[in-house]
Amino acid sequence: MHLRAIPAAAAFAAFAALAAAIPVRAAPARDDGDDRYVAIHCGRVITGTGEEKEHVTVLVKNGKIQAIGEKVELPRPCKVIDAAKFVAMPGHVAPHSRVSLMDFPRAGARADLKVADEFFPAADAFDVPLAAGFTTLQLVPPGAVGIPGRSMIVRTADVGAGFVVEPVGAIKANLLTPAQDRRMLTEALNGAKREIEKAEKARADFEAKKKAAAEAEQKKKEEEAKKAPAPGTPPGTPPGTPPSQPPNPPPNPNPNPQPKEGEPPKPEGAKPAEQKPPEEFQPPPIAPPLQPFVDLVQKKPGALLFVRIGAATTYLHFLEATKDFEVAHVLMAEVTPARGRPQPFGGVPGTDLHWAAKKFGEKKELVVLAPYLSYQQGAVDFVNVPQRMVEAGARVAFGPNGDAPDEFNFFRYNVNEVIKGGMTRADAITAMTKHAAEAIGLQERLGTLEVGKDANLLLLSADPFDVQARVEQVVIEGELAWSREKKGRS
Amino acid sequence: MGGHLEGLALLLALAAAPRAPAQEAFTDVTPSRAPFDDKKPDDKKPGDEKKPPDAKDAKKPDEKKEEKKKEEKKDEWLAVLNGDVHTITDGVLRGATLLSKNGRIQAVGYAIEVPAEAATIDAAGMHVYPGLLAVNSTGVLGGEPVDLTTDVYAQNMTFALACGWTTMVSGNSAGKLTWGSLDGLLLRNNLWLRVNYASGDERRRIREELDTAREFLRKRRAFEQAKAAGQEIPEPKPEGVNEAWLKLLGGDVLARFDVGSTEDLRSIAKLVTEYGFKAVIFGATEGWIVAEELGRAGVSCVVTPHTPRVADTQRNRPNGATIENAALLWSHGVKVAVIPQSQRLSSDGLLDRDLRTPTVEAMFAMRGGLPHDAAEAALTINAARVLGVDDRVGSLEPGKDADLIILDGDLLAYESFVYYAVVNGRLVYDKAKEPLFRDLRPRPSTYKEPAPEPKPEPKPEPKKEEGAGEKKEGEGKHEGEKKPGDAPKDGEKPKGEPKPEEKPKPDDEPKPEEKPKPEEKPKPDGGHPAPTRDRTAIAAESIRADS
Repeated sequence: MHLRAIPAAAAFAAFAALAAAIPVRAAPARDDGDDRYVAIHCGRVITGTGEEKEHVTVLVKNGKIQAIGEKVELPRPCKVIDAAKFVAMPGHVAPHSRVSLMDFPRAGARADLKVADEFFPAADAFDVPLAAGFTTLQLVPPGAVGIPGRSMIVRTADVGAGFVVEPVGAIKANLLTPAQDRRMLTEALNGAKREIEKAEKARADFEAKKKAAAEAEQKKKEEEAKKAPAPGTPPGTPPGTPPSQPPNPPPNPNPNPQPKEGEPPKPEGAKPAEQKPPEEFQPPPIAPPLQPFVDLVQKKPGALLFVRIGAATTYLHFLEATKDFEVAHVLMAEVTPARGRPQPFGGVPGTDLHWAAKKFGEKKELVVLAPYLSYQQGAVDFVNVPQRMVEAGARVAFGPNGDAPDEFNFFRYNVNEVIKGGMTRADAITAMTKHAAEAIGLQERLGTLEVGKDANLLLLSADPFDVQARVEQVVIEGELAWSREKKGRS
Repeated sequence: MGGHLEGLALLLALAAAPRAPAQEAFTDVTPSRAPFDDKKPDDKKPGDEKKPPDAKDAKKPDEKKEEKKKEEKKDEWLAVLNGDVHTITDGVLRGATLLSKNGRIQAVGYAIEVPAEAATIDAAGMHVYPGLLAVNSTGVLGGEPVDLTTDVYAQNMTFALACGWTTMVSGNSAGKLTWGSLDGLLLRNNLWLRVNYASGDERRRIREELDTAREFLRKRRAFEQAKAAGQEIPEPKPEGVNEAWLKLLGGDVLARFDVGSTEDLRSIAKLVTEYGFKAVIFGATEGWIVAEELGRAGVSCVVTPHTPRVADTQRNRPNGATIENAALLWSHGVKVAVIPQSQRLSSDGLLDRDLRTPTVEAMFAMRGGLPHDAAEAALTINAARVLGVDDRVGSLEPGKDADLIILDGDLLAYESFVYYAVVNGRLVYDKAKEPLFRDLRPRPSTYKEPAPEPKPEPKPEPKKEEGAGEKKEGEGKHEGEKKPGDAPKDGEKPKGEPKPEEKPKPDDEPKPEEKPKPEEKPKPDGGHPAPTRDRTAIAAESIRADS
């Protein structure tokens, strides 16, 4: 059937970058053979980019959106999903979930542990989020303390390629109790810095040594040449010598001038890193729990820190802990719903976040919030934390607050409450779609309905914020994953 | 002894005298107290750079980085204008200006040039005091380490600021109530060496150890002198010497005793006199009986002035508690700080004598005869002395931290409200913006944020510029309401809330008030009304309308 490359776009990009180093590049193997086309005729499409269009056809090729527009020529054969009565929007993304996972107790900084190693889902493990319109979950490691490990990204239905979208995702770090967690985070980052410095030093030492050796050899040669001028030159490059510049030509004797000219920056950047170390330099080993942080500090593509913060103060601690580093990160903060009585003097978590909104805004933080209104502490006033955040300049992503079925089922309803509380519809949609995908680091693949992205669609019977809107169909990567007609999985 | 008694009599007379004249004496207008008056305010004081308000002496490996940061960092100014500044240590300056730079008081006095980029609080008709110090507390700061466990956005912190506290103690650390920031939160770690000097055995052991430590210090001094003189004698080794006592005798730490009985107090006075270290006595309920000895020993006392304990008539000597305790201790030269009976912030009951009512305790002391200014000092500078941080906080003097509160009346009056609290030169509490007390005797907030950017004054079109400038200012204000500007707490004010006090100011303000934007907000299902205005503000308005 249709071949679907398992690695995610980011991974593929990295792979491509690596592959670029090798002169002959293999073409992606998915374009050949039987392409699978699916066309979805939608009554209305909320693309997530800020647009809403009527009567749009989404053409999907091998799970990716090939075209989107009013008039799209359909290839043949092409499966057609008629959703002319429905409203389509990008499938929901839950950035912080533990559906299907068991809790394995962990302590300390364990960025070497992966959720993927604990992932043995049942076939219907994700049916609740799926039926509620969630197509993608980020499964995070357990626990509210320290750095419990690395998360993974799954789709909520197996439509032919399994559940796993991204086996190794963001590093999760908790910052709920700064007294211990901040120290742990600081130590991990500083440890990574030390490892990098160590490696750099080792490399510098190595190169200095090599240079010295080369110079010595050169001198030797020159002396030899002086002594015996005739035969010295032809075998002048003994196997041990090719250190800095000379080695590049010999391995690729004729690397076709065209590819080199065509994309000069990438291969050249990748080449020395690729070719030199395996030959000679062996970087000192890095402790496994620190390796992800080394990637993070070195800003490797895909390296992401997913930080769960508690009260607003913990964000200040996060800033303190990371002030010497520039790490790609996403924050997740708890917002307590304004349900029941307001508690004038209760320590209600999340209600104080709006006080720090300005600080979030200054850094343009991406904050995952539950779509709730809260009570302001010490008053019966409502406070719309997501709105405050957006107004202050932060980017808000909405995600369900935990894995209770109602959190999934009432997700759009809750977002609607926030809209009623003052957030704009456009901001709310962005928070549900684009920013939610960004929060799991898959903004290249998910979040919006655009050409080239995964065809994860949610077909609703009405506007998403209409209380009567129901999920009619869920399409994951072009495949019908769930439909109301069939009462479940199709 | 006779002289001492005379002094005592004089002091008592002073205490008994009506306090108005004394107050008057302080109100003399001092021409200028600012040491930097003649200089421009942005003249750099070398000390300022070296001592950032940050209390943490975090050593950073990269000094270059730090320098860079400093270069980037703009000076932060805050000016409190036209207030009656109660300096505590130096009298009252009526209608004076207090200028803070980067968290430290730069100048207090008159004719002070306020830089244009300064944030300002107009405190005309208000009273400016140093922030109060709670020498013990629970529930506001976290446990130790204070700087890692304190919730700087907690309601309790705001509440404590509203009560006038700006510095508190948790365990053995002192922290500031730096609402919304971790900078400069930790004031001092390891405040006291707690000494239990109760039983005979303990006393003997402590004395022996102190003797050993003192002996060692003597030897070391002799060694150092000899060394300076060029002689050679073996260096003494601190064998069997308790490090803690060395610190105590060296004056690096204060000894803290928690005792109340006459016997204990007397023996502690003896001990302190004999060994000559700095000591703080918490409790000191029967201090009034041994006030003279305590005064001579130079200890500080933390008292709860109103501690009812009926004297035991079976005992053949004075005992029990008296409300005159604080006054008697003070009159004998003891530095007296007061602390409420319960050192937590509760919210149940009225006047149940906890951290919500700091001044009530001082007022109890006044009822017992403590003069007004001594009662003020008991909450400020003397409390700072008890913590050993009187070089940083406790009074309003140039060079000290800009920790202050602004009230609408006398500090020691129950009806006075704290309207602003400033910690490390930053506004951390603005009554008009907090839900706590904003509807009680509301006053317009006079806090003005610093101008966003010192515009390079484009002069070509003066007319237009003016208009534009005004508009921008208005906008800035409006923005400051919506999004928090530099004011730490703007954020909590609901958007579009019609602040009663800002009514008269800009023309565009009433509009959103009359129409709370019905057309802007799409209400899909007629759900609950958008919370554009809070009920309390509406209530306040209606009350005002009635009256």
